[in-house]
Amino acid sequence: MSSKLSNRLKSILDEDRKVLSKNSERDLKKKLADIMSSYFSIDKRKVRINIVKTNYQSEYKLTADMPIKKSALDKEK
Amino acid sequence: MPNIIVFTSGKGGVGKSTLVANIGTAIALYHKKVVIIDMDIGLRNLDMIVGLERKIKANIVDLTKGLCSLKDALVYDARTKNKLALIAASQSDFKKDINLFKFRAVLSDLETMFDYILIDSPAGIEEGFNKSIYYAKKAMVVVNPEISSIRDADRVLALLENHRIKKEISLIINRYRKELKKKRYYIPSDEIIELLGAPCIGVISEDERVLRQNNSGIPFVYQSNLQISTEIKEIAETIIGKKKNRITKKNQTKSLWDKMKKDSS
Repeated sequence: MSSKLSNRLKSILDEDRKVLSKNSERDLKKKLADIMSSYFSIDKRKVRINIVKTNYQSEYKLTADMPIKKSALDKEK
Repeated sequence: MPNIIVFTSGKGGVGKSTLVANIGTAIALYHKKVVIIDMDIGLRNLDMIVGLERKIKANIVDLTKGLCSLKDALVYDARTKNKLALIAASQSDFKKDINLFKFRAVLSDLETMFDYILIDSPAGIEEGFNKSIYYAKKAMVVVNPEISSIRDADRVLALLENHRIKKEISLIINRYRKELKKKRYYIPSDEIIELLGAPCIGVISEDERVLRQNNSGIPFVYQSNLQISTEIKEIAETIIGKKKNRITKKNQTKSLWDKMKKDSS
C-alpha cells in the first residue's frame, strides 16, 4: 500500500473517531489556551487540539499544539 | 451456553449473507446444531443463498408477532442432516415490526435447541442493525479491502464497543486478493487489522465462483476443493473451538482464543 493511501485512510479514520463537537472543541481550545497563557505568551490563533479514539477499545488521546511566542521565551531566560 | 453471533458491517454488499450461509453450513457439517437468522426485514436474501427459499412458510416477523410457532418458522437443510436451520426475514414487513422483547424470547427458545445462533444483520447502523446486535454475545465485523468498507467497519466497531451488552468482536476480511497485496493502491490485510485495531478471525479470498454458488443456492463450502471453502472452514473451526485462530494480531491472539476456548468448553 502506498504511503499516500495509508495516510489518507488514517486521516479519514482520525477525523471520524473525533469525539468532540466543533463547539466543544472551540471551547476546550480557548480554555486550554487561557490556562497556558498564565505561563507563556502563546499565539492563541494557532492553537490546535485533537482528541481521537486510538482504537476500537475506547482509548482516547488528546494532543495539543500551542506555539509559544519566541519573545516570551527570551523573557523567561 | 449457546453462542449468539451477529455478522455486521455497516456497509452493504460486503458479503455478510454469503459468509453467514457458508459459515453456518460449515459449522453444521461439523455436526453442530446451528440456526441462521436473516434480520434484513424487507430485503430477504439468506434463504436463496442456502437454497431453502421454497420451504419458507413463516418468518422472523411472524414469529415475534406470535403469528406462527417456532416449528413453522424453522426451515431445516437436509444436506446437513438437518443440523443447519434457517429463519427467514419477512419480505413484506419493516424493521420496526420486530419487537426486541419478543425477539429475546425467540432467541431464548432457540438457545435450548441449537449450539450456535448466527444473525445476519442488515447493512446500515439504524434500527435493523441495532436489533440484530442487541442480544449477540459475539460480533463478526465483515470488511472488504477498500476504504469505504474500512471506514464503515470502524464506525460499527465503535458502536459495538459502546453497546450496553459487551461483546467479543472480531473482523473477517472478505473478498481479499492476495496477489494485489503489494500494489500501491491495495490495502493489505495486516494494514486493515492494524488500522481497525480489532482481532481478525479470518481472511476470505475473492473468488468469482461465489457468485455461481450463490445463484445456484448451494453454499460454496460444499465444494471442498476451493480455497475459499478451506478459509470458511477455518473460521468455523475457530468459532466452535476446534482450531486456534492464526490470523489475529499477536498481542490479541491469546485473549480472543482463550475467550473462545472458554465458551466452547
